[in-house]
Amino acid sequence: MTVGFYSKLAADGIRKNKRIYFPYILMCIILVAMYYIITFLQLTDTISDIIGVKTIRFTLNLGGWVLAVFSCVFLFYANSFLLRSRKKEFGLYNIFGMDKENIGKVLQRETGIVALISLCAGLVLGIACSKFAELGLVKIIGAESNYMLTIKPQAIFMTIAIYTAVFILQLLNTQRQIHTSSAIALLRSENAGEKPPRANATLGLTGVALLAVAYFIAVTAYPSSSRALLAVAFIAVLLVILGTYIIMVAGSVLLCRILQRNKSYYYKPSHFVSISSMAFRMNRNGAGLASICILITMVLVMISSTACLLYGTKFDFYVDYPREITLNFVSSDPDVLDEENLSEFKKVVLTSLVYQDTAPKNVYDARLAEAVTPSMKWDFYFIPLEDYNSQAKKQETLNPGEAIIFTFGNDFKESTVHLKGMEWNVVGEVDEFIYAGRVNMVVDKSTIAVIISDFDTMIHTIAAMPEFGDTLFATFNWACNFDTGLSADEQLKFYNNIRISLDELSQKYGFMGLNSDSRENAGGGEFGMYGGIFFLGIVLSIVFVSAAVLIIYYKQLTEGFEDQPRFETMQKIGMTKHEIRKTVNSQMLTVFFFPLLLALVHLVFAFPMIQRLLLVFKLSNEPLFVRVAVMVGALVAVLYAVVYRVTSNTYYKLVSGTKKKKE
Amino acid sequence: MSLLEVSGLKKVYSTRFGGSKVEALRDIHFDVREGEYVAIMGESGSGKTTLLNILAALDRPTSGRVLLDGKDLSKIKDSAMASYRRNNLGFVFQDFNLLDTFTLADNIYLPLVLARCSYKEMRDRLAPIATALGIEKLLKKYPYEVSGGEKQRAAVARALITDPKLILADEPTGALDSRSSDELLRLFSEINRMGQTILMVTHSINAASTAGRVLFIKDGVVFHQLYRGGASNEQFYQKISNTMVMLTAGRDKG
Repeated sequence: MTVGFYSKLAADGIRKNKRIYFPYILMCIILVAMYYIITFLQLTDTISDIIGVKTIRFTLNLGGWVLAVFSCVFLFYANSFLLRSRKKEFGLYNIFGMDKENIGKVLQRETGIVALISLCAGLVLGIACSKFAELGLVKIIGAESNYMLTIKPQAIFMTIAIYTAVFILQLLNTQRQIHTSSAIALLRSENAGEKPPRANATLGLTGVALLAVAYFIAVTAYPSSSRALLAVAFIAVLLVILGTYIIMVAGSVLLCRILQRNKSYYYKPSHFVSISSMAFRMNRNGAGLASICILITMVLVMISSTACLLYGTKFDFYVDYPREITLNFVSSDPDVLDEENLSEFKKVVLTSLVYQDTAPKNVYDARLAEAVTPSMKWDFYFIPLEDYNSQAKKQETLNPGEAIIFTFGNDFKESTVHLKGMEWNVVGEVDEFIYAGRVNMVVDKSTIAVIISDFDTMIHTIAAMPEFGDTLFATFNWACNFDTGLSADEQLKFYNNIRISLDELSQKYGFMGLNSDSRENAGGGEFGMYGGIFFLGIVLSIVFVSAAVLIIYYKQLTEGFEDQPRFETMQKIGMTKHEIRKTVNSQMLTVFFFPLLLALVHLVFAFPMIQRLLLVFKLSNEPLFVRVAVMVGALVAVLYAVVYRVTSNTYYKLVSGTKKKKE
Repeated sequence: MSLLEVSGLKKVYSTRFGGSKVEALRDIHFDVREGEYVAIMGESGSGKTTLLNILAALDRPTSGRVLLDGKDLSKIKDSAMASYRRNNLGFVFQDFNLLDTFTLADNIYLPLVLARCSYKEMRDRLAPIATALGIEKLLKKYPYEVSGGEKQRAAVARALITDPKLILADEPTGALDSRSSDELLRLFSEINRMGQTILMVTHSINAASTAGRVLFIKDGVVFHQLYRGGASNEQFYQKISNTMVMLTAGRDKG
């Protein structure tokens, strides 16, 4: 026997079993491609300038490991399908005189071929898609990118290393299984385990109870600390997974048995065959169904919550930080804002902001009076018209006593703005406005920016009021916001440098001090992480969905082969093709959509818990979450229906003998 | 009047590319009267299985006619074929073909369920048959829990429960030990005595010797037939045996 012989045998084996091998290889290719993309994105230069790049890389790195572990577990599972259907063949080889070592060689070649195809095609696919993924990631986190396709050899190397290891592990596992079984056991392995299951009421009820407890926790638990919340959520997730498995395995058998006891329901052509075979196989394939259910639930929860996290954050974030660095010099004396004093101060500040030859970009500066009265529903930011016009590049004109407003969030429905006896008629409202500084978001208070022409008069009036400092709090500020054009690290360094020196400087000019913030400092990291998590959510969802599809396909295929003789008998006894179609449909509808339904129920009960988790991230955007969840749910349902049609056709063709086998 | 009339039956198999042709049945003529118990014998490759498949309407002849109760099987539409089979024919197979997902009772009910019988009627029909076949205690069990002989008795019950015009048995003793075989053949004789027409394909002389008439098929034609007359099973066994020897010798000469 030569080397070529084994390779030929291996290639033949793959070709002859293409119905099983083809989807398996496809899955390998997808996994390899996804892994390459994730690794590539950690290394790409395109994102190196954007905010939170470190956390994005960290998140992606973590995701890469999750994907690698999942690949390993999942390919083991898929491989067991392959092996089961091949054992008979190996048993025959064995009986015809190939020893275990020879079979091992065939297996080596087979794994080698599969690995080679998967790695090559996967890397090609990964490289081809990496640019799209990069553009997607960049879009999600709102940076800019070019359209150059780059290849990272390091990512290729990592991918090859990880997946070669996975394939070697698999080969070892297969070899072990072949080695430990005898020729006869191999020959008969296909018929193993034909005992119908006994319904186990206790186990079935345990599953239901576990789910009920998990649901109850998810809906009612309101722990005070976020850490406790995470712990509780973790427990609930574990209970749900356990409950789902038990229900799928034991509960469904129990249900079938109960249905079987209802004679007039059971003894109907469309129910008779489907219920009995469901009861029969749930025991063995319940785990597969449970896995499908869990995978779908994961996809639903993952995408809807990460999308919320990202888009909810993004919204607040850019309102809060229109520029990279926000400086707000605060004073309680309106005279500080006198033209002479201020213009000198401005000059000093702007020169001190030149850092490593880079001047500040997109500078937005304006005078600003913040006025707060505890008794009023609104907090006010007063801005002089001239500052607004020069910054927003507008030519608005206002008479004294008139105002243009801008609202953050809540609508301002009145026609005049009142403040301690002062009054401005609202003559216009602007939709877009670069506000300088962070807005206080308090539940029962809203902030309104009021642009007026009589700013100087107003601030002096306020400062002279007897209530000033008592029931009217006001500060007279100069705000200066700008972009630096520096990388994230440099930005932080720069920000920390100027913070203290400018604070001291401002006091020389009569200010009380500096309120400052930097986007990067405040939440750039967080934001980058959310972007990374969302992106990972999508990538992992694609992987999980593919995995679920593959499980479904294998399930249908193995069941089709298994049921072939049964349906053959039934056809001989007098079952029509039409009746077979009906049986297949009734069986599939129940078995198929059960995981999807259960996943949706899981999601509904998980909803309150996820809401509370999102609140930990100071985020509650219920409508967004519901919208995303419904959209993703619908998408998964459609995909599911398509897979259902395709695989049920495969199954029908198998069992009805439309594909005549040679006799 | 004959229940089953077979005339000029011919079946030619051709390979996929139409190259070589195999004549499985050349020219088969015979008929079966109501209440008869007929065995068809022949060696492997003589066309027994092809003949049975055509009689069961699972396969169509190249030419020739099969009349069951005066009705030409080739005139029945494909769509009506399954229900025709269900209502008129009962099958007993060599490897039982019981469905392992059903209890024995449900296996027996299967053709009735397909015919949309009510549960009460099914139960009423099963009771006497189960008693006659001695399986009333096994009905709740699954096929894997009972012996081969018991499985075959359940399969016979499944064939009988639709009250078919004709029972087609394909090597019914082929997978049974000798005790179970004898037991099954005794049952066949018994249900035949009650008026059931049976056509059995077999190559076991022992099985054939319980029939009322034996047809011998060779090279796609009915080569010879023997009537039991008044002979006992043992005497008939001897006659069949002699004929088989003659058939084999004939082949050796040819």
